[in-house]
Amino acid sequence: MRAAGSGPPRRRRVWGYVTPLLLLAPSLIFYGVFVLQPLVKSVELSFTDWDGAAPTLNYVGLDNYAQLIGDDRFLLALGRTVIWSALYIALAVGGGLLFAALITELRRGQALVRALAFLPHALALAVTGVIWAQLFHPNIGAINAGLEAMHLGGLAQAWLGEPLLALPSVAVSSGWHAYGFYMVIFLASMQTIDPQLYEAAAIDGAGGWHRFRHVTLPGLHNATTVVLTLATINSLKGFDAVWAMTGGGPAYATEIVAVYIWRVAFQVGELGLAAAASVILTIIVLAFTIGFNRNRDRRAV
Amino acid sequence: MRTASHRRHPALLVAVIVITGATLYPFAWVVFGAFKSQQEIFGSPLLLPQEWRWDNFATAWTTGNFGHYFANSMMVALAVTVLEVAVACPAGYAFAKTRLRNHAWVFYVYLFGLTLPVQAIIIPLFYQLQSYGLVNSRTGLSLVIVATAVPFAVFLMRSFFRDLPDAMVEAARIDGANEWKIFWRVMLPMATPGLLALAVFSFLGAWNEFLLALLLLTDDASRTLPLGLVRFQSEMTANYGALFAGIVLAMIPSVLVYVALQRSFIRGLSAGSVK
Repeated sequence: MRAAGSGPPRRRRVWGYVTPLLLLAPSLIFYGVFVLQPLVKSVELSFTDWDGAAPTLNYVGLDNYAQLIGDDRFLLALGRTVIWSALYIALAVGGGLLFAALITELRRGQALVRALAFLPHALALAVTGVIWAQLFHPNIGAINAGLEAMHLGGLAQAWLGEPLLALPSVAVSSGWHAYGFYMVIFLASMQTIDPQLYEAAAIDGAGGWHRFRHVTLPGLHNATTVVLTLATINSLKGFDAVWAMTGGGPAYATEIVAVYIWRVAFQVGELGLAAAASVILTIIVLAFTIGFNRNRDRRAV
Repeated sequence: MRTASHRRHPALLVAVIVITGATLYPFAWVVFGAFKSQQEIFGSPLLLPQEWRWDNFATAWTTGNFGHYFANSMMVALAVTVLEVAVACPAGYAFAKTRLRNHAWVFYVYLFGLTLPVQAIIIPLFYQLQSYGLVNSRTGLSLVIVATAVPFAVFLMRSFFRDLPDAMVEAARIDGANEWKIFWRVMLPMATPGLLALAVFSFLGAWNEFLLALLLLTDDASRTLPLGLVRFQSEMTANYGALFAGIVLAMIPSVLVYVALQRSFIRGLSAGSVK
């Protein structure tokens, strides 16, 4: 280092990168070996009909992609993923935002409420799924029992057994798990909003809703971008909850793309097809992420 | 204005209490269920147990193998925490304070990983780990969890190091400290809150990991807690009390870690995301 510093300028410039690159190297090795390498391999597999056992890869061009685009099961799984993400964002992000707005108005106890609302997020999503599978249980579940206690027993359902109710029911469990997480981000962002804006709004006679609509929401624009990006990516982790609660059923009713990929790869053994589905999913997620963040940059200027 | 907000206060308070109560009720419900007999679980599912019985926990512990799952989860989570901090800290520093910060594209390679769904890698990953002999191995699972968490961990550490004043680096350099010394002796001690937040995130993330564990651990001897609980659920379809006790056993460590460390957890999340 010291010797390099006294060398000619060109050599010094090159040597100056040695330390930073050494600092970077451990993370890059992990990331390269266990993330980037399999990612490239996924793309390669998506052009083959590999079944997991064949000793060599047989390239089939775009056949897997063509098959997916014509496959109702895959298209329905995509559609369910859109519904799933929308439900997740409405419950977890919407819930987190509203609750954050509520508790900023609290005079005291804010930190306690924040910590309690965050508690479900400390659990594994799979554990959350097991808990909610019992809450939704038709015979022993608290939800049906609660409805009966309120003399609404007619509304009792086999929540996870009904094709139309299963996906929203799983989404409720994921919303419970995650809303505190988004709430914490929104709260942190709300604290950066200039209090004078609230005072000005109060002088203008604005009520709680107007303050929220015209001061809080615009002030949260960049946090909202971060949260929507995070939520879109996190909604794919819905796999854990689905797997623990319904396994993708009844029949295909909760088969989101993440579950489709798992079933087709590891239960049917069509690894090439599943890899193609994973590539399509990745492209969709990247497109959404870039879309959200372009919006952020332009508005921030 | 004062009076208006006072008038709103009771309704606000009621709403906050109701929502917080609804958030906490599932925890209480599961704990109550763990102490009930099978008849009580069917007969009075909403209420407190008439008599607090411990036999469900005994059943869950002996038939459910929870002690074993617990040990596996603990080993994986500790290994991941140590490795993640060791790997992400220098990288975050390199992006925040060295001349690498002028090369944004390198950081974009990491940012890309932040948006990558894990489904994009799981299929080849299984066969890759199999060829290394790392399937059904806690080591294999730990290495993979570290790698998939690298983008977030580096992102978090970069934002912590960026907040430290550049003047400290300059002063140390003028005093003749080399780059390693600046990192180890000057910057790292100042980033302790960030390190702690990263450690908590890493521990809980590894403790709660499900999909990668499902992919890589297929024999009962290596199963972690979430995996073991999901399997226990499929076996205990006739004994709900034992299942509730199993859920409580799986919940306790996460809740304890969170309660002990929630301050640094929430602080880390607030700092890492708003930037």
